[in-house]
Amino acid sequence: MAMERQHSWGWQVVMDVFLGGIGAGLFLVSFLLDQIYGPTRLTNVGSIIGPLLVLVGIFFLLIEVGKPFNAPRAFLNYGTSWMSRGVILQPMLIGLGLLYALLPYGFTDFKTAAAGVVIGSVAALLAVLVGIYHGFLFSQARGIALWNNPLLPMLYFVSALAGGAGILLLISPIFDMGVILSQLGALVAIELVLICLVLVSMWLMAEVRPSRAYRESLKRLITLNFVGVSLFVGNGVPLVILIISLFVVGTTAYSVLLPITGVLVLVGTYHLRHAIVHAGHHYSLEISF
Amino acid sequence: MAKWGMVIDLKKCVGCQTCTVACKVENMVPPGIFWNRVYDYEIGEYPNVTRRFLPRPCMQCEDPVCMAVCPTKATIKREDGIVYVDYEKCLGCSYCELACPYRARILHKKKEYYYGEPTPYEDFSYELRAPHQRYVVGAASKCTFCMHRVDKGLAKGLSVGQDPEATPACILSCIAKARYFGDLDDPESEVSMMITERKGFRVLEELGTEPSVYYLTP
Repeated sequence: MAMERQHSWGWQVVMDVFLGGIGAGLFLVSFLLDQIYGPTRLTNVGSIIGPLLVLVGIFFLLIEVGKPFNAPRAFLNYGTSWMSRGVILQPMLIGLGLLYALLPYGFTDFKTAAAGVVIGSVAALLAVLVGIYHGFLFSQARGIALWNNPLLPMLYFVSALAGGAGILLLISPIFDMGVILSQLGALVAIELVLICLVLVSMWLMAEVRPSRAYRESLKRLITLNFVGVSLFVGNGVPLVILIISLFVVGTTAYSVLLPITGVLVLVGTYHLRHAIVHAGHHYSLEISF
Repeated sequence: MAKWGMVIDLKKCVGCQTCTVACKVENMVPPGIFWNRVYDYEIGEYPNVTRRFLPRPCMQCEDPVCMAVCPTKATIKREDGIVYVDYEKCLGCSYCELACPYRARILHKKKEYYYGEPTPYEDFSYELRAPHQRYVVGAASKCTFCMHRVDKGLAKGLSVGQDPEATPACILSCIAKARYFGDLDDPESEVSMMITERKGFRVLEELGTEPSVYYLTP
């Protein structure tokens, strides 16, 4: 009896975890850059777009569910359900994130004042939790061997950070170019390496996990398409470009290479999430006797 | 309080799907949705190939993952171990479909009729049944061990799993008498004794869901 691919979750969930993830990552990276290097126009925009992306992600989730008017009930089972936890965490991130991002327009120096730091820190913590949440959402699905994996939260979190930083790289030419971009590029490079390490760990896990379902799901994940788009286009090429860009800092080429890197990282982030959703296979109930 | 469970003797199952049909009739399950399935597969390699059948109702797990993941608390476990869905509370997120390793959950995506137009019988399943039994489009559904029959039988003082009126439809309809139903907490019950004597096992036991459906091999 062959394992069957899951058809319960489709492109709407992919969009939710993609936008929710990169939105949380974008806010978190913007907040960290604000606090370390001081607010810039780039990070101001990043901290506004981040929570808005999370909001759009929720919209996609709502069009996936069968009875969206029951959404207010989804807060109830936070004790055990990761979906409930996400439904609580995401609106909190949107609210506090936008508060942190938009108040500076009324109060100068708000972001670095005590109140701004406190609100921003809480929102950043929520962004961390939302980044991790998508991984837990999948890993709690015990019926899908590939997803029921302790490494997924880590993978989703790092990929969310990379995607968020990728957006900043993408929009960087519109705003001021400064030393911040070199740091951002380094951050993206580290995240891309981490994504590869987590994927390798997931692959190695197949050797120690007795589940045939896990091994077969992994085979279905690691296809030519996955290697080509998620790993090569989304990880390998951006890493090479980032290394090359170190030699052309401050030139026109630099301001072209960074947005290209941003686009590629976003393509990789989307494709990774898409591939994981679609590689989910149900257990085979075959028994031998 | 009893803990209801099922025993399925795979030696006797002939794969006729009568239980599948009986379940659909009893529960008025809409087209395309099966609460009970009988998986039919081949094992071995030519020329030594054997055909096997695996009937699969909901496993009514002691630790139901579907209940843990349900964001709206629409999945409810009764004291007697039966797990069911409150359709009115369900969000229709399909999380339970993915969490259940046995694929016993299914989302009722749209209102469908067997012959295009609704028959009076089908309307009954959507509109006329007791509110908690009416199908709601967009909600998940699953096998309930025919809890309406169990409850009615108990109210009449009948013996569950023995008296036809107090027994799930799949058990009654099985032409090979391959299915048994009873109290797993009672060591003297027929099901408990069969499990002990014939070393009953559960499917995907390693996942720790503690199913209430046991299988017997030859």
